[in-house]
Amino acid sequence: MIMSCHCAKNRKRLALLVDHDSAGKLPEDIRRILANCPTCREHYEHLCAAMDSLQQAGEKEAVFLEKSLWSELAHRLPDSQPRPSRYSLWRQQIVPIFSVTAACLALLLVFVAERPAEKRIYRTAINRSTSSLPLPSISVDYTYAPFRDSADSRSQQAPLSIQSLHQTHEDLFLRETSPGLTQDFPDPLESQVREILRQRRLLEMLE
Amino acid sequence: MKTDQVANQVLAGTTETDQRSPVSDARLVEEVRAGNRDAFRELVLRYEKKLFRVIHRFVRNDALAEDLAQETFIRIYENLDQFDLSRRFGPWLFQIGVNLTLDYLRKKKRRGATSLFSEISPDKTVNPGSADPRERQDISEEVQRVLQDIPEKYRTVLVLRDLEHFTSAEVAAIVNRKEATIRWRLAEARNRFKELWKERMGEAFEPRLEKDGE
Repeated sequence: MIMSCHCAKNRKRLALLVDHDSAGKLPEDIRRILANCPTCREHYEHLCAAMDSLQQAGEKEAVFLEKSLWSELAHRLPDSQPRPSRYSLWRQQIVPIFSVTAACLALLLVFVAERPAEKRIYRTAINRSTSSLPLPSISVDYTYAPFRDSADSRSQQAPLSIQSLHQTHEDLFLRETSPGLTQDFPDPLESQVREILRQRRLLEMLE
Repeated sequence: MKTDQVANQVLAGTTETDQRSPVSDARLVEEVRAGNRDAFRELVLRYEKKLFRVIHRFVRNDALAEDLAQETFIRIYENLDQFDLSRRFGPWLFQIGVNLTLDYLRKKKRRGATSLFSEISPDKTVNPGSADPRERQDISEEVQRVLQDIPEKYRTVLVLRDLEHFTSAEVAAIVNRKEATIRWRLAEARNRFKELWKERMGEAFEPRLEKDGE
């Protein structure tokens, strides 16, 4: 008997429909298949017949317990009572607490990791002293020699950004408000003048 | 179907005994855990008949089925602390019972027994040439012999579903597999049974619907 692929597919469905409860109410598509496909019809009929035999054998073989098992079982049961073990108690109490703690820690980690990077600033003493003061609005002329170099070097190292401008503002402000800090931030013009003066002094001495 | 109803009642823990004393299985389990042996007796009385019958389907021996049923209840008693009260007691009991029985049969088979249903001698064969072999031999023995040739995982589903009338969901809980797996296995088991039955019965195999149509 040659079966088409549809017949092979239908075999599973037909096998599940072989039931005393559902035999009379087959789905419409299955009825159509059974009406049109002799292979499927034959398979279904054989299936029904085989299942009938199985049911008959099952009913015939059904056995009944003559006397209760309890009378013998009562003597065989262990004396100790079946109590929850120490491990199961531990599991019931500790595991939920541990789970909740772990969940809280995980949430905390996620919260910290998602904070914006700008807010995590490690402030120096100078920053702290000046950060609360408003920056003066100073127009920076980068054609002015001392700044040209720094502007050039900045443009070579990194693109000029709002932050770099802000830093320049801050440097200038510090130079104006904190005279003692000028040593830390030597003015290139001043050093040039000093160098010229030193050379002139040397020439005078030589003369 | 009456058998179906009984099977469903037993698994749901609402048998006739239950109607007299409507204590749930979970409540009885709690009482057993608290040391009440009578509660365990109630559980035994509630499930012993069905469990004995299910085990008997596999071993086909009264004494052996009784022993295995008792062993199942002892295992249940010993492991009652591991039972999750949010689950149903019935499927857990039958799961342990069926596993115990299948383990026993596997060991027996390994020891050299010729078949799982060893009560039947395998050398008996049906003569397909005779008019109706069922007249000469008991049909149930024939069925058992055919069942022997079906692999265990399919046979278990077939026995539980078609002979003991558990629902697919209940069989899934007992065998500890998904319901879809059980349905697939059931279809395969029925098809295999049909092929083997047809092969065994030969020309004597007459489909029911043809007979009905005559």
